[in-house]
Amino acid sequence: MTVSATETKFSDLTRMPDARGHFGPYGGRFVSETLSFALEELEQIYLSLRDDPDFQAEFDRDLAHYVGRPSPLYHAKRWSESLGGAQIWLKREDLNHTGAHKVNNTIGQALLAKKTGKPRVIAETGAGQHGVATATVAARLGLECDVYMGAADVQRQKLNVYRMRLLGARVIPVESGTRALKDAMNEALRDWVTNVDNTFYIIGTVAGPHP
Amino acid sequence: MNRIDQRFSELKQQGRKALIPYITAGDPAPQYTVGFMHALVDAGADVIELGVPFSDPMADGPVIQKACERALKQGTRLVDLLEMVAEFRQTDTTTPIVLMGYLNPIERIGYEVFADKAASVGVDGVLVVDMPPEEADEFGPLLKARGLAAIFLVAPTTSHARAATICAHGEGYLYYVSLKGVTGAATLNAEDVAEHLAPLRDMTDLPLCVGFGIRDGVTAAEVAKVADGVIVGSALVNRIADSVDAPETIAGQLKSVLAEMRTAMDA
Repeated sequence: MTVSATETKFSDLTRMPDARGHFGPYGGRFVSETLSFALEELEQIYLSLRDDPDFQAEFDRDLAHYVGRPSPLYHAKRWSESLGGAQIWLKREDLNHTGAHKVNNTIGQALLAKKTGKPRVIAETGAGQHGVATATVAARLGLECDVYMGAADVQRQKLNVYRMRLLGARVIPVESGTRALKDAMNEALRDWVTNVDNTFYIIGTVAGPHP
Repeated sequence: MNRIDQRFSELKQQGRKALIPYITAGDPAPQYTVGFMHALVDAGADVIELGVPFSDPMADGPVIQKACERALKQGTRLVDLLEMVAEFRQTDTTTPIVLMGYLNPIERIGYEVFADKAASVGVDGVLVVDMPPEEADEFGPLLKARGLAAIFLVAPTTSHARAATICAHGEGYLYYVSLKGVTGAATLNAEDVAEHLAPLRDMTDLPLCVGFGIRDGVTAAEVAKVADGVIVGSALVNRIADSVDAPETIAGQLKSVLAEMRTAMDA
């Protein structure tokens, strides 16, 4: 019984999201009408390129030669021993270019941005790793890059702010609300609705609307 | 007949355009809001949009963001706002009231509870900024069943197909966002607005009201020439922001800002 219940759930998952971006009671596109055009445009670009072999080849090439994937697996022997049984393996995403898993995402989004021909990208960032990964791919493709970061996070994460600036990005401290990640995201969305004609939003947080 | 429909039909007979002020409820403190609403009616408001303060007003510019922050700091909740409407209705039974805000606070108290309460205190329409018609399957019918108008936004970037869907679902009036961006942004081009309104006229008989970027009598009058109504928010909320230390002066200031627009529109 348990097994079949699990199987049903899994097959449901593979059919998600539905056409409107819903995952059962979750997901969807609860945004202002001012954003709908940007999201529809993004969805169209994504759907047109998702199964394009040339796009996939370029993406795979970048992951291999720019990011440095596949990242090595490391068996943490002493840690496994000290924990007394379970074998601990570390997937070394920290060895990716820019030092985090974040670049896996931004490299793909930057390729999408390039296909749209838009000259500018924006991003929101919390601790700064997504901002660094975005600034890096933007620099590589010659795109203008503005990163929104909560003013409190700008203070806390000075090193990442320095890295983004070094990569040619503008870091915009966000003073509204709690001066943290969610406020940076609100501000990036506001920028996007204003500048959608020339701007691609490289979103880094699993908190946005479909797609 | 819903008060909104009633009001627009009266305006049409008189050959006048609707003036629709927006203020955030609870700004600068909850005890002032009902007084402000009456002042706006005195100055010529046809419909009042009452903003529900929210911590993440994604579609709003800094002026209304700060208004939300002030109202929330004073502890203004959605249930308080409904009480304000009830109080307003004790002396004004004709001016339509539209609640404008985001979905989270409504979801928090429950769609059905909210719809019941809103209808019972005398709300006439609800504009949920982050609930486009596609996401309104559940909430929309609850509003409709209680005679509350579900009001939707149309943006300059809205596709023809989407606009048709929005027109089919919309009630009360259509809120046309005059420019790309957030509330309180700088410039508005009346010709551009007229161009965008023309195809909407073919799709719907709903009154077309225009908001975002209307700051004074001149812009209000320009927009009134091409639209059925003019929505003004940030220009009023700015006055509140400037006078938080002298709240007793605010009602008078709101009146004068709105009266200037009324005069310019009716000229």
